[in-house]
Amino acid sequence: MNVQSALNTESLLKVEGLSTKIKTPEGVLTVLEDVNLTIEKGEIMAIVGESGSGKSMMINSILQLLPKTLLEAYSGNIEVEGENLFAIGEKKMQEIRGKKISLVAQNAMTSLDPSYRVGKQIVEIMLEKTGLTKEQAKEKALNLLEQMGIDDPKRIFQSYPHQLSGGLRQRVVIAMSLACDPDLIIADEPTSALDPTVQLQVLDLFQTINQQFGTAILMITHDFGVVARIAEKVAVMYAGQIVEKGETADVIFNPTHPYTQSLIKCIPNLDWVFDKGAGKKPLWQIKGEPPNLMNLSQGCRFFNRCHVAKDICQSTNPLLKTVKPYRNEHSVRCVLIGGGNE
Amino acid sequence: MTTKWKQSCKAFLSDKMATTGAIVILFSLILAVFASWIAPYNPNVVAEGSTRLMPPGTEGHILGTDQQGRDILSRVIFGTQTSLISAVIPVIIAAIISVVLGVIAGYYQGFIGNLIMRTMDIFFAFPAVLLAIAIAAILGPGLLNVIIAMVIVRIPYMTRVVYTDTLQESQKEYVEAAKAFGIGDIEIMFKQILPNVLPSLIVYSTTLAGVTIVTVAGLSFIGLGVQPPTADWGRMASDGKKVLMQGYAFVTFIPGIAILILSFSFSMIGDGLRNALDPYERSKAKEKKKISRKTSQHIA
Amino acid sequence: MLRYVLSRILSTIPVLFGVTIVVFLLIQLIPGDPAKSILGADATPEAVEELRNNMGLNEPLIVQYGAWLSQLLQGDLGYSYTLHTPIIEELMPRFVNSLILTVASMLICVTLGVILGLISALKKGSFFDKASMGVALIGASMPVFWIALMLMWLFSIKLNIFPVSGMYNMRNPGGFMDLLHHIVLPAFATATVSLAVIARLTRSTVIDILQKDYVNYFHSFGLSKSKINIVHVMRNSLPPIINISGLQVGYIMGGALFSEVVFNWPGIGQALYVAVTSNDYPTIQAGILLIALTFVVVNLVVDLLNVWLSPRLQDSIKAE
Repeated sequence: MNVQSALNTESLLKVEGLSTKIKTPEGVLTVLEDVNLTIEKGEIMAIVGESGSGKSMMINSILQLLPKTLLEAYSGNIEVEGENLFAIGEKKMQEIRGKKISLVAQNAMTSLDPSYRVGKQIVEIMLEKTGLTKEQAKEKALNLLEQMGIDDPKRIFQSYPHQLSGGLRQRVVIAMSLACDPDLIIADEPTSALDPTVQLQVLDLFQTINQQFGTAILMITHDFGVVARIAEKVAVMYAGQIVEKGETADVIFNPTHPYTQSLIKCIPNLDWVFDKGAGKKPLWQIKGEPPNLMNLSQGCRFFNRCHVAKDICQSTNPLLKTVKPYRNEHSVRCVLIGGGNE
Repeated sequence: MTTKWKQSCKAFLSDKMATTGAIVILFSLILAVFASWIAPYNPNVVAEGSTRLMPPGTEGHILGTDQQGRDILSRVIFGTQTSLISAVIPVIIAAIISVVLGVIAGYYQGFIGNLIMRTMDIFFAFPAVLLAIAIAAILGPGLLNVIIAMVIVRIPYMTRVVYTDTLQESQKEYVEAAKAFGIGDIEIMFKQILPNVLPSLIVYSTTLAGVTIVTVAGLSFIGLGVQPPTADWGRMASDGKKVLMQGYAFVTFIPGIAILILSFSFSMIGDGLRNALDPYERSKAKEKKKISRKTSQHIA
Repeated sequence: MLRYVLSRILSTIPVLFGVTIVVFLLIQLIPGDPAKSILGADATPEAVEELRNNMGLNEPLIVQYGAWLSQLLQGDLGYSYTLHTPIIEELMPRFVNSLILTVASMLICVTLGVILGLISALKKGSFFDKASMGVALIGASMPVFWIALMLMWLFSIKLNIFPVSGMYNMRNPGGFMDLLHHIVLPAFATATVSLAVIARLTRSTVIDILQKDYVNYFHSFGLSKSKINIVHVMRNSLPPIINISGLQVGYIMGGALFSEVVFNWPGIGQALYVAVTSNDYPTIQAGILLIALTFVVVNLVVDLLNVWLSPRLQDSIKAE
């Protein structure tokens, strides 16, 4: 019954039944619907989806960064260590941003202010968010840069963003996200703008951070390769909904939702390149376009593009159902799976 | 091509400010051409029964009479003539000269280009109004000399616009292709490049016409330009200064408003043309689309 | 960096040279024979010829230019046709007065323009934004002399708050406060158009910067909004604002002429006006020259300021 132990059992981040609605000139748009996910301390989770699936809206909802002019309403719950973000008010929210949850920006090129040296930008965040003195902040920033695998932290500290390579900039942004020792960092497609070799280095860096600092990571990506390499859990998003969720191994080796199956089939492998025989099949493609969120019809949102769709899919709204209840949860949003509709 | 023009026309007409501006200019053109029929009085003569400084709203003199007793409305109507002439003609002449200079400088670059553009740079060292005043003053008073002064003053600005556009166009594939086909320089410059440079020059010229109205009014305010008793807005404002000190502001106020309306109309047309001729600006101009773009940014 | 500054300073020399040529050629535009016009219509041909020789008018143009330029370099701007005094003595104190008016106008248009533009951008779509941008749109089309006259009518004649003319009180000239009292109206009249231009540019620049990724990124760290606006948004809006302000110096110097005429401000513009009305060509020439030289220096300073403010520009300069 003591408060301390009660707090310790809380999940780091718990999103329950979250729906986010935004205002557009054409009307109100539900960009996220019924999103549930939990991240425990020290965990690495990935969210996979195409652009427009609501991944970025997820970040903006969790950090409450949607401008008032755009936001129509939230419903559901977002809890950080048991505290409901919708109830705590803007002042407390400011405390959470950066200190509890921080962001690794998608495009490091444009996410650093071109007019200041990068070191100064890291220090600026520390000075405002923590009680460190200027000297302490500078020392910590230099340490962070070094821990990011940067050989010459002093020189990088004194550099302007445009003087750095893409990989270095991304490391700087990651260092920045760690400036106030957050419990969770949300990484928004952190490798998509980088060269393949650098991508791997940066992914490894995230793993190192996770192990060294115990920081939980929510990795937003469209690349199952990234998921396979670092995430323990994965959620697949489609058109503002989570369509499949589970342990990474379960989802990758046993993809259950037709959309997930298609996504994994879309990954080209080398067999395809070298198999010049008659058996060469064209690369798997998902036909069609994601639905327009503005005028959704009843039924499954993936219906039009699904390779196994049946009539029932068009009439029934699928719910997220557990397909593998024992040990590790694995759930899917598809009426054809799990037998619940029989 | 025709659909492109249609689209541009449609975009222009959907811009309320620009359309209003165009209507105002059209209206003032009619006033200028038919001034003798439209104006209720001879602008340069005191009408019988009029006294000086009759306030606006007086029967027979809607805008009142000036310090000599002449009908202000009639003088404003006749003033449209000099204002339009001195705004439009110098800009057109300067545009023609600038097209030649700018296209040549942008296409050949090198020595010729440098020579032309460095010469233009020298003119940028003078505030335009002051250079125009100096030239007009030295040439002597008169509308023609003001027009000459304005042409000289406008050329550097317009040449620079044509030059930068030509420079960009010259690097495009179609110019390379034309060269490879052995098409002559003159033809490339004035048949291939010019049509692509023209839209932005037209936009700029329209805006400049608005600025020129104000500048020319300034010149006549200090006594250059059209000589009395010809009606001219700048001079009307300047002549009104003496009675302004006695509290009669309308003699100065009214011609100033006329200058403002005409100049503002030109700049609104300029803005409208810019949006209509540039597909990117066109989409940007619509606040609605802007928001939805922002929305999609957040979703993506 | 020092090398760049030096080379940039050196690069103004051809422009300065060109300016002197243009100003010299201006006088050649005078219709008719200047000697004749000085001596009057009924001068004997011999007298005219003698004056032409004395004035060097029979020499080739290039020689005349050389002589004029060497005089110029010694600070000799010639003699006024009307006052018959060295022009430099007449113009220098006026130059200082014009400088005071120009600086005051620049202060007004830059500070107010930036403040208006900034508030409008931050409160985009609000009544304040719409009202101030509407006024700015119209303000940019107003003739300076008319603004000056209207301000004079309202504030000097109707409300009697500010003096009608001059720089100091005639009977009882009293220091800085007196100057301030006299400068308000001419400075505002000169500044209005540029104020409108700067406000509009500031607004669009700030709106642009507010949408930059790095601004959103700093917000995601929970930094205070006002601090981000000052440290990041304003800092990055600065270069375009400084650029346009530099360009406005030219408009202000041109517009100052009209304010000086309307308010009898004893500056170069007023002297030019008197010279224009009395065909005093050497004074027109000298006045234009002085203003152009000042403008070249201002442009140089603005350019260097921009380089100083932009790390990226500095690097591209070093790379050269």
